[in-house]
Amino acid sequence: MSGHNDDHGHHPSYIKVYFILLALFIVSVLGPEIAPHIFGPDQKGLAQAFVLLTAFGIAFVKAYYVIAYFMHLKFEVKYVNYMLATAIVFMGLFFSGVAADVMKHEGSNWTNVAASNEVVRALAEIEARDSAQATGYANLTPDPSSIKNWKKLGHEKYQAPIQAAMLSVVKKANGSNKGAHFYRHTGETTAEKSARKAMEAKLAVDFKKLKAEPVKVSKPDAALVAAGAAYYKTSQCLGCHSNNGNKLVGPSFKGLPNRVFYGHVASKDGSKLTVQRADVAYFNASINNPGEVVVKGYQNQMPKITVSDADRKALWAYIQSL
Amino acid sequence: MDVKPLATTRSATGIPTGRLSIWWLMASEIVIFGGVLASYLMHRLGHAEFGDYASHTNVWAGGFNTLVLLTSSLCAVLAHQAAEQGNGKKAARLIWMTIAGGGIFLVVKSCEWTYEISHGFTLQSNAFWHFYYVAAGLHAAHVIAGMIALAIVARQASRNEELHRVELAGIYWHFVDVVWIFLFPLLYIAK
Repeated sequence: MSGHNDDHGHHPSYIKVYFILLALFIVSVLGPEIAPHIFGPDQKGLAQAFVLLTAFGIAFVKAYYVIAYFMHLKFEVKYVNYMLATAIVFMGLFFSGVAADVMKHEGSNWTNVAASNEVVRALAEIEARDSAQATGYANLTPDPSSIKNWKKLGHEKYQAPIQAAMLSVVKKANGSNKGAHFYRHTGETTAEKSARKAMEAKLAVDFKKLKAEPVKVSKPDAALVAAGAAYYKTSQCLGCHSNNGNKLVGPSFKGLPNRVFYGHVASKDGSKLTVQRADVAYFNASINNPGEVVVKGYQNQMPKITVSDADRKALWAYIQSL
Repeated sequence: MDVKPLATTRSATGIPTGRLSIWWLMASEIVIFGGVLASYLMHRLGHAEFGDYASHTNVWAGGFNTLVLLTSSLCAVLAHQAAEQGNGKKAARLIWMTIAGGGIFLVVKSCEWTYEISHGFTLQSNAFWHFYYVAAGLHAAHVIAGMIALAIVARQASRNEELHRVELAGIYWHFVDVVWIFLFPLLYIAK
């Protein structure tokens, strides 16, 4: 027993070893956290090496300090090292014996169908989940009313951290910071949103084109205008359509003729936006079937009214005179 | 003092028999945990999807537990130092602190597991979670066993009896710490 007591005399301070271990621990946790900030997305290999080095390389160093100084293996009789090394060698044998079968899913004469299928299935599942999340984040748009409610409820003080968190989420998903305050979901997927934007741009062009087209305007006959005015005052039209530009349930008759407008056309899958000119044909179509093209910003509430051809002519003349 | 068994008093091996047997225990533990860790590592390298699964584990809980075990290891080795100086009372006090570290470790672990299981990550979810629960569960079982052994040693040490056992229980406890040092990056950090 002579060697044993002497050996325990000259180990370093345990507290010092403990602080070395703490420092190593901090590096091993921070390494993977800061790796994405140091290395760009094109340096994936480097980032991975960095994580391996900080997480696993340091694990070995930490284990060395614990084993050498806390377990005193450094000061133990030599053959204990050989005992432990033997166990590790057997471990290594096991590892190298089965590694080829476990780590690879395909050899020259065999395929691990279950394992390779599982990898494909799992990766597809993860990708689907990630893209669903990305769609969700991409559709977050500002919702001012929710801010008002939030403040009214007295939750203002919690808003800053939540806002910061939401912004970082949106920034991550969109690659840009929209600077909005609060978010709700629009219910559109990214693809639907971009399709809508493209259609709106195309309609704006159509609108300009149609507006630029010359229109032949003839002065309406005075007798017809008088008949039209008389009809207007006694018909149900005036309930919804003003003759002075005021917005009622429907658009005003003033300024209506040949106006270019955005209108909703009802179709099987929801309504579709179009650009139209309010000419006499549209005027007649609207009386025949009020819901066919509804001016943007209005709801169709017009009943089907029977108007004779003479009355239509008079009314149109009156509208033109306004 | 009562008569000691032969194994405790005689050493033909150059080190106390008790310590030699603890080292043998460690050698067998290397094969047990080494087997689990090596299998996990091989599967990790063969399955790209494990990285995503591992991102659901709580790095901060795992990191905190690493800190707790490192600190409890320090207490264990300081207890050993006190026992060498013949101060059984101090050794016992430090061992109880080591046991408290094990207790904190288990509390954090059970909170983690409660959270994970309630979020649908169970033993049968997939191979990653299987490894996670088996490896960490086997380790937690060792923590519990170590706490029991340390408690027995602490009672004896407080009466200044069998002080050499403080080192032996300590070696076992450090091994449990070393296993966690490897489990932590494997299960928590490698994404």
